[in-house]
Amino acid sequence: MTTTERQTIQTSGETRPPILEIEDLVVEFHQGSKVVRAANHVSLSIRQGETVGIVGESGSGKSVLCRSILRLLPSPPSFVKSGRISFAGRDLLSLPESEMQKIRGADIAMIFQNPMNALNPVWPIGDQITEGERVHRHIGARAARECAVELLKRVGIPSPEMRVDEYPHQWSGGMVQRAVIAMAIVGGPKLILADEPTTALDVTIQDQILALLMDLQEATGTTLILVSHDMAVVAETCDRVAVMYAGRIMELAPTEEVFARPRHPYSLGLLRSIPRIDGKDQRLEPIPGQPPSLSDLPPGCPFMPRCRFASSECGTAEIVLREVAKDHFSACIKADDIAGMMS
Amino acid sequence: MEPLLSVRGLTVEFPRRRSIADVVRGQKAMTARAVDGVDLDVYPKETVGLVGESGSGKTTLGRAILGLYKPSAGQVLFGGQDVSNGDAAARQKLHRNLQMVFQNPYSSLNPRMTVAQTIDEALRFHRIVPAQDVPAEIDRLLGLVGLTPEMAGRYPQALSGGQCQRVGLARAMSVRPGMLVLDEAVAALDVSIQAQVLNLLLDLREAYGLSMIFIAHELSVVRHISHRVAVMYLGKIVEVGRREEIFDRPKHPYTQSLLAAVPRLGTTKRKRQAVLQGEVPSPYNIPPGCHFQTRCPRVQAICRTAVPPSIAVSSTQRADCHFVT
Repeated sequence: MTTTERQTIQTSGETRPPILEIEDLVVEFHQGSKVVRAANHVSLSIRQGETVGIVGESGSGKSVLCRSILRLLPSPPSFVKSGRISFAGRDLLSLPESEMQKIRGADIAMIFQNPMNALNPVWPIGDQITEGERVHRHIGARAARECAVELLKRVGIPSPEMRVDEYPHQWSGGMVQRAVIAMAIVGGPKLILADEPTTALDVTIQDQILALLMDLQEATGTTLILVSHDMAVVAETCDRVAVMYAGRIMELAPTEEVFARPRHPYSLGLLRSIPRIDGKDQRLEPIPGQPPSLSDLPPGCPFMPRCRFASSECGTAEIVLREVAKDHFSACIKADDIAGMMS
Repeated sequence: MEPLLSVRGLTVEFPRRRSIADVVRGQKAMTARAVDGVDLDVYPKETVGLVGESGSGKTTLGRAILGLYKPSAGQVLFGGQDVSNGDAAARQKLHRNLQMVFQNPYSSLNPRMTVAQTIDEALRFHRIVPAQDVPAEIDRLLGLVGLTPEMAGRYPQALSGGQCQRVGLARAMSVRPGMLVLDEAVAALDVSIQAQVLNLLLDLREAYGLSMIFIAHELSVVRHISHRVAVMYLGKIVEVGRREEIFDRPKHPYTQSLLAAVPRLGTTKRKRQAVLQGEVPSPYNIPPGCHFQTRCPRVQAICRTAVPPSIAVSSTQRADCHFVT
């Protein structure tokens, strides 16, 4: 991307073109006679340069969504039942595997939750970082090493020329996550998918890694999807947030809107069940019950059995994200009753 | 008021096995000092939060209090009696009064024992109720933690994480203890379930006048449940105080940095500048002087040589730092 292009993107603000469009995606896992629906009619459009957070509890489908974009889910057992994913105008789901291979790492990169599992334990870190470059761009060994040193410096590894030949077990979790980030940015990706990138890290290291991700993003103008179960992490780093539950996006809005003026009972429930580090002392209000089984979803709204606003219509109504305020989407038919409940 | 539990100068060390090559080379055995001369009091009905990052020694301290690790120095006094001298009878008596709840709800239950068998074992071992009353007592305990009697016949694999944690809590409560040590007891749970378990803990604390040591890395959860908080770094308690003192007026630079690093709801996207550089040093290679000197933003020459004194900031707050203001 040239400098002038980037400037236009920044000045034009909200009219930036979408780089990723997910339409009506349904992903199922077949386990014997059971069908587990992990992503259920998900639609999401992400603009170039944006940071979008995806929050939700275990099993809400956030990781499945990320992996579907890169087509990393093994099939079988997983099947894309319907939907379309278009990235920079190309339909990812219909590309041949060889084309998809070229997109992975080069155009779309992924950062995984457990940094120690993301690297090969018996291969020097520097070599792993530049593997993609050597394969895709056929650069030589010396150039690759220089490139690895340069990248490690960029992600804040001290004395990188000494450490580039070390193995993952010689590094701490925070340092390995920096190496994984170096690996993600090596090909200059347009989109980075970060799946719980700081969950395995201590709070002061999480702070360092989030600062690094935001710096890199500012420098390169790349688009970032940040998956997290931690609402506070998302609140501090993202422009927009999608709240997922039982495979569906329940609410989608600018970050501040979701946290200050939630319009879905599930988002409201989550916010009220979190202890605040600087909040008033009050008893937590847990969401009663447990998430539904994804192999046996109730008809209508999947949150209905736990929802205190539910009525009989919720069991029959079609669940669609609709715009309830400017840029604010909610999948609740009673979104208007929820307005103003947070304060 | 007398403290229920007193920890005095407790030190726990883990020697690293020397390989044959190390022995041949005449290398000295390395020792990791996981807990380093810790003092801590817990009063009746009080909850003390123990926070710190991985490797700070909070779990080791919790386990050493229960006698699961043998201290290399120091004492643990429960109800005025020394329970850390390795006497089996004393330890058994201690476990009637002091119980632990572990982090991983699945691995802390035996997968081949039903819920009833898990609770039954503790009841019979400590002879809490006459044998014929055990089934009724199990039902009562399940009710106490919000489970139905039908759960009694289930195996852990048929339970959710939140339900497993409730079973762990029922097992701990079965001996009618005066105090619980909870090691990351809600860390593995999703937020909506975590809130259910936290409320349950508060109810049990209220109903039975329990004391608690609540070990966690999640500061917002610790603030929610604790009366007092101790902050650990590399084996030492660097600051201790009432909850408001630690969260509103922290004095130790580590506590201040830790709180500044926590992401907060109610803020918006902001430019981040990492609060602390570098990482926690290895417990095999603890720096001399102040343990925090390698990362401290206010480090001076004295910090590199002299162990900081414990400064009383108020009658309830202490911080171990040369430059507490």
